[in-house]
Amino acid sequence: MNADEFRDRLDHLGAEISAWPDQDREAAERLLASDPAARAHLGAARRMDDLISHAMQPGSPVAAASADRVLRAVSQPLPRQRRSPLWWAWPAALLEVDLAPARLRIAALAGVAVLGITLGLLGPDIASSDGGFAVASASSDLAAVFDPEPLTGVRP
Amino acid sequence: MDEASDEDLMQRIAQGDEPAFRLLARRHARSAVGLARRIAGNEADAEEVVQEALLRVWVNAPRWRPLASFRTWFYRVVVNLCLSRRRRVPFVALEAVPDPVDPAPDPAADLERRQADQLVGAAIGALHDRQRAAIALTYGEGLSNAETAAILETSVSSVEALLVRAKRTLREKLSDVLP
Repeated sequence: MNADEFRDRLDHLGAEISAWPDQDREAAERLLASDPAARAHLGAARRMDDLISHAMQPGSPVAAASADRVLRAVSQPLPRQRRSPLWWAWPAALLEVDLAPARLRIAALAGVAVLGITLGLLGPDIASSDGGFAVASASSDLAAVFDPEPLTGVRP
Repeated sequence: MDEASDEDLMQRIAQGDEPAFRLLARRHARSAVGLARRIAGNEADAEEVVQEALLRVWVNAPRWRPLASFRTWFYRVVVNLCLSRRRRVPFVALEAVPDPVDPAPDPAADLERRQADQLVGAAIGALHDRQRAAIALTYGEGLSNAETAAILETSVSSVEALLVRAKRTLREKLSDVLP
């Protein structure tokens, strides 16, 4: 790890090196022991964390006064609540059923069903317009029409 | 009722319980105003946003489903309202709002600190909206990246990317006050 890589890690992992993953932390500690530039990066990162944290603290009296004004505003007569129509109650109850543990199996079942339907619609028994069917039709031998296909065993 | 959880209060609010709503509002108004102020950047917008968010809580309580904690859901409403609001008032850094006079033991150090805070506040105010929201949630509210991701409706890695970009931008702009 060099100083630039160290600064990149600081951006991603924060200035609290003790919380870094072991491998990164050990490499950082080795670098800090020998590289003044790395130590300067760490100092700058800590300083910036401190500046941001301080700047993000609102002035308490100001926030309290704002909150009081908001609370006064919402203490006026409240508007009417939005309630779900009765017909939605049953689907909404279904949506609340926690299917999380079975989602994989449900998805597999649905996938197999879709595959089955697709094969049923596009499979060889309907799509086949091979010569056998034409020959069979032309020969007017109805029994042959319903015979299994000799190679695949699929019935027309 | 004071000990009731937010989710229990929501169940009562869903039944039209106004005292439960007022208790829930009191519980969250101050932190929500602080969050909105950090993102919206000014007092007036922050108050309007939180007022609107609280009214949405009341109006939509019968249809609320506890899929996430109330705080996550409420903060998501506050953040979205802040981000979608067209700024009618320019961003004012928090530190530009005068604080009450504090008898500091070292006036020179206090002045220096205030000047640094103003610079940082202005730099944060100039960040992209979602970067500022990520900074406000993590540094201001002390939330984890996972909680921030839930509120911003994105992935943890996206939050990390937002924070990295924000910090790099701030580092460039604050080179004067950084060692």
